[in-house]
This record gives sequence, C-alpha cells and structure tokens, in this order.
Amino acid sequence: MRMKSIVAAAAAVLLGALVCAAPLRAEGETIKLGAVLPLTGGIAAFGMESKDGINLAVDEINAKGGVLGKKLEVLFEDDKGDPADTTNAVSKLINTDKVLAILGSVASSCTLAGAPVANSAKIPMITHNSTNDKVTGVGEYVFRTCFIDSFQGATSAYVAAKIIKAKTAALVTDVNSDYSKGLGEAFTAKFKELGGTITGEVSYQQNDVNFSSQLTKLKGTPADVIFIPGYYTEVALILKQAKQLKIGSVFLGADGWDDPKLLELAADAADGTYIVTHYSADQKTPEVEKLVKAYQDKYKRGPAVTDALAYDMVYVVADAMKRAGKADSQALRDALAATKDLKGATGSVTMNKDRNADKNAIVLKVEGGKMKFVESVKP
Amino acid sequence: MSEFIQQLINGIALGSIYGLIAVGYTIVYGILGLINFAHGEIYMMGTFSAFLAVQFAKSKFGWEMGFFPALLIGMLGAAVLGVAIERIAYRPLRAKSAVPAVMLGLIGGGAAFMLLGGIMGHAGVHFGNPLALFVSTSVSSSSAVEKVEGAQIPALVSLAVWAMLAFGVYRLSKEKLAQRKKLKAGTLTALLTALGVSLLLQNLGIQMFGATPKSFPPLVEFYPYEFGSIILANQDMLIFGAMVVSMVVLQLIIYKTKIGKAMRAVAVDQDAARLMGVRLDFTISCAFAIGSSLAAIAGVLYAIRYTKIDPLMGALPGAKAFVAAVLGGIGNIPGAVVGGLIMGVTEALVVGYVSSTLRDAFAFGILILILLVKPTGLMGSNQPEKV
Repeated sequence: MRMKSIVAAAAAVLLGALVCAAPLRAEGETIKLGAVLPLTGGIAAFGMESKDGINLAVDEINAKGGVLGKKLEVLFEDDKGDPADTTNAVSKLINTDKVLAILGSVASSCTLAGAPVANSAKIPMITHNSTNDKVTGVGEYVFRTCFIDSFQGATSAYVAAKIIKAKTAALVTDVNSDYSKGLGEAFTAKFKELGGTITGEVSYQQNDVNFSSQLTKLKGTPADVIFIPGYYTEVALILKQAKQLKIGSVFLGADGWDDPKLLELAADAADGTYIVTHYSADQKTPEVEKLVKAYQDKYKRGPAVTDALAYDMVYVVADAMKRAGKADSQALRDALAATKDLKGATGSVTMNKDRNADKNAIVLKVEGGKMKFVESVKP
Repeated sequence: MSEFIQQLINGIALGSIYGLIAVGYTIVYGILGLINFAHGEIYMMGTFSAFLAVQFAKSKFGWEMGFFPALLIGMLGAAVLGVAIERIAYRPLRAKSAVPAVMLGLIGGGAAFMLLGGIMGHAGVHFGNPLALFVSTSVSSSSAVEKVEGAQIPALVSLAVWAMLAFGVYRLSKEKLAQRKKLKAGTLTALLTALGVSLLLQNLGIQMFGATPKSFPPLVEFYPYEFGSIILANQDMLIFGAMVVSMVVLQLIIYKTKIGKAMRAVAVDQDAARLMGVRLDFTISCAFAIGSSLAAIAGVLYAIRYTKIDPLMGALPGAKAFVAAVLGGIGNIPGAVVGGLIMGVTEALVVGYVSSTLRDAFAFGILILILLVKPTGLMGSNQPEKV
C-alpha cells in the first residue's frame, strides 16, 4: 500500500513536471492571461475553487491545441480578498506581465477596485463571481459571466410568486451588507409588480446568533414566503430558530445560501427551502455532466458553484478570442461584447449591452438534506 | 398579545444570560473597584473549554459527555483562567512597584500576540472588543476598519496601539511619581491592563480555535412546550432556572460562609479587612473564580441555545452585560441580575416593536442615559465614585 502510494506520488510529480515544462518550452508562443483571486484570507475557499476551475478549462483547451494555434497561459495573483491588493495585482499583470486580459476577482468590492485600472489601460477584465450591479458600470472593458444582484433579487420574487405561489412575503436582511440590501430591494419591487404584498421586514447583523425576537415578530404577521438574502452561516441559524418557533412559511434565499455548510449547520431545518443560484450539479445537461466528470477525474471532488462559474468564464474568453481572430485586447473586448448563446455548465451566456451575462438562474429545493434541481428560470 | 408574551420570553432568556455575566463584573468591581473588561473573553474561554472537553471525550473515549460534566468543566476552565488573569495581570498592579510590572505586562502581552500572529502567518490582528476598537480607531484611519465586529487591522497599527498604550501608561505613572503620590493600583492603569488582557485572549482564541465558527453540540435537546401559539422552549427555561439557582447559591455563599464574609469585608475596606486577618489575595482570587464560573454557565447555556460559538462571541454580550451591571448599580449583585433582565427584555421589545437595526443603539443608549441620570444605577448605593 505504502509502496504503491510512493510510486503514485512519484508518477504525479513527474507528470506535474512535464505539464509545468510544457508552457516553458512554448515561451513566446502562449497567450498570457492574468487571474486575480483571493488565494489566501477569509474567502480563500472561493479563490481556490476559481483557480481549480480556471486550470481545468485551460488544460482542456490546451489539450485540444489551444486558441489561435497558441497555448493559453494563466498567471495567478493573490489579492487576499482585499481591494487594495486587487488594484496592485491588476497593475502588475498589465504593466509587468503584459497580459491580454484579466480574470477575476471574486468579491465585488475587489473587482470594483481593480476594474478601473484595467479599464483605463484598455485591457478587458472579466469576472465570474462578482454579482454587485455596479461592477460592470466601471467601463466598457469590464465584463461578467454571471448574473447580477438585481436580477437575482427579481428572480427570487418570481420564484416566490410563480413557483411557491405566494401572495405575501416577508424579508430578513443583513443591515450591514450591500449584497443583502440590494437583493432585498430588487425582491420587494418585483414581488409587488407580480401582485404580491410585503407583510414585514426585519434585519440582523453579521455574527448575530439570536434571531428569536425578529422571528417572533414575523410570526405575528404570517407570510407565505420569507426571503432571506444573506450568507449561509447566519441563514442556517435563522432556519433553525424559525423551525423551533414553528413558523410555517416557506423560506427562500439566493446564492449566499449555496454552500454545503448550510445543510450541515441547519440540518433538517433547511428542508423545504428554495435557493436561487447559478448552477446545479443535478441539472442533466451535457455541459454539467462533462464538468462533474472532469472534476472527479482531476480533483476527486464535485464542482461547487464557484468552480463551475470560473470554468465557464475561461470558455467565454476563449470563444471571444477565436472570434476576434487575433490576440489583441481591443479585438478581444469587441468580441466579448458580442458573445451570444455560449453554452456552459452554468447556463448559456449572452452578453447584454451592460456587459453582464444574460443567463438563467437555477432554482434548487432542499429535500432530505440535499439541494435538488427544480428548474432553470429567466423571468 | 401572544406575540408580546413570546417576546417577553425571548427577552427574559436573553436577559438571564446577561445577568449571569453581569454578576461577574459586579463582584469584581465591588471588591477591587476594577472593571474587568476581559470578562467577556472569560465567558468565551469557558464555553470553549466545555466544547473542547465534549469533543475530546467523544473522539478519545467514545463518551457522549452529558450536560452537567460539560458545564462543570466549562466552569472550572473559566475559574482557572479568571484566577490566572488576576494573578498575572491585576495583582502586580496592587503591589508597590506597579510601573515596571505594568510596562512589562503591556509590552509582553503586545509582543506575545504580535509574535503569535507572525508565527501563524496571519497578517491581521483582531480587535473585536468595541472598547478596544475605539482605542485602535483613534490611531488608525477609520477606513482601515471595515465594520465594528470583525475588523481586521494590520499588525503595524496594532503595534502602534500597543506602543501608544504603553507610552501613555508610562507618562501617567511618571507624572504621578513626580507628584510624589502613592502609587496604588492606579484605576486607569488597571483599566488599560484589562483591555489588553481582553485583546490578548481574543487573539489567542483565534490562534487556538481558528476564526471559523464552530457548532456547539446540543447537550440539551430542544423541546417546545406550547401554550396556544406561545412556545416555551425547555432550553429557555433551563437558562432562567440556572440563573435563579446560581443567584440563590451565590447569596448563600456571600451571606452564610466565611469566605463570603471575607469578601464583604474586603469590599467595604481592604486595609481594615487585612488588619483583621482577612487573606486579601485569596479572597480576591475567590471573587474572580466565582464570577468566571458564572460567566461559563452563561456561555455554555447560550451555546446550547444558539449553537454557534467563535473566539469573538464574548465581545458583544460582554459589553452588554457591563451595561447591565452599570444599570443595576455596579457592585450590587441583585442589581446586576435586574439590569441583565431589563437589558434582555428591552432588546427583545426593541427588535419586536421598534426596529431591529436600533437594537444595539438602544442597549448602549441605556448606558449613557443611566450615567447621566443616575450614575449609581437602579439599585446601587450612594458611595463616592471609585473610578
């Protein structure tokens, strides 16, 4: 057993050395892309997932001969989830490494800090995971391959009204989070437009553990749906305490819920809740099945939502390069803006005039401790 | 109506927690005239002792530890820590040669967690305590602080804070020496030391347990008793019951035992008590042990009720319990409990009927109001101000 693993390790090292050596030999014949990601720090998990997704897609593309006859090469920079570091990393990639385009970052605050640098240097910057509405407003060189918060909030309202068939809704928002407030506002506007009534709104702060007073208040004015635009740590506790108070409403959340930790922390209290997110491993499209298989082979795990988004982003960029016909930042920008119906694991991407991806949202329902695919919607 | 009663139940459960913590502040203040700002961290450490014990027992011996052994271990852990803090950080301040000890303590403490941060490769040092945050924000620009809870401030800034604290203490002591006044437990010195200890423990907690929140095991399974639409949780009843029992036991200790009598004597006059043969240091250690184990009871019960624990869990409840102690009249034990209950119920009602956003503003507004209107607190005696 031991011997076997040593041999396996040695083989892996050899293989790794070969893979690493390949781009070196091809020096000057690669197309260089930069990636700015939080590889350490508080949201490092998302950064590492992004890196895995990018690496897998690049390997697949290079194995098929690369783009425009050249191999892709990605230079990774760590921004630690800190906006100041994102700005520096973007400058370095553009000025020192002369990259064709920049991928990333994850947190909206980081992308918002790095994007002006790329935009004024006329280098396209593409993010896969920053959903804040303002990100692509920085300039016409900034793109994103995921949907935006206002779409997410509106879609949640659509799910509440059409799938859950709710007439009334209440909100639980994180008072210090732009993400939470933005989603809440978009939800409220769309839900009213669809003929629903908002019966109450309560708030909490990050790191709170006791939500009983807020939930008691909501129990007094029962709503069909309770929408909680927040992150899984607090959401899990809210769901638990809501169950203890026997609140009968259906709970609904957005991509901040989409983490296996939610199910671990909330246990059976998460059953029956709905989640609006980017991706589901259960969705039986050829793209999803291919991604899941490739992940199992390469990383021995299933792809999480950030993995899938990063993977798809590389294909969007590669597709634009092919259409541009040359490795030129300006041509790449124009081609990116014309992206249409590009199929990926997280849905098909069409760039709209605001340089945001028009794509479907995935609705999941938690049943028996698993997030199950319900449908793919675009209201 | 049923909603109101439900909010009262929520508030009383929360208030009992605050009350239990507040008693620790009040006992120590009553005897030493010191506000032990590290009390919130003792609450956190006590909870983690119980948590680690439960995990250890399960992984090593396959023993599913019950509620009472876990609670006892938590209390013991907190008591040992409380006594140790008193012995290491506060007692030297009562000695004559206070200045070098304080200097050493502050610089040593600062250096220790700077080093720890460096060794563990963490770029930031944590300031979770609102008061500590105030100190640090006065040095760093406000943009470096993202939000009150969980602000990460670069290590350099924290070094600057420590240096300034040490310098301030040095200057204060020097002035006092110049005035040829007797140096005995300068209250400001003790207060700053307490803040330092609080920071030290928070950062130690982050290094030891990690910043990621942990899920506390449900040692007492949730069970609801329903009265119409009102739900009375067994856990909430346990919290209230534990508070009442603790208070009865505490009153018995204070009024019926020898050590209780010694504590009351020290509270009235330290020097006179010492002349009458009361062992001052031992009595003070006992006060710390009692206050700390009460904090651990609060911590374990809170963790069972609300599941999530992390190294900064003590900062906000600690600060609110301090307000509760001031509200009830600091130094007065029944006052601390009453103050805690008022704080808890106010919080529940503010969230329920005013606005959840204003919850903490109300809590700390009470502190300002009580200091302006009745500085001795609701049940405090009218002694000359010690601070």
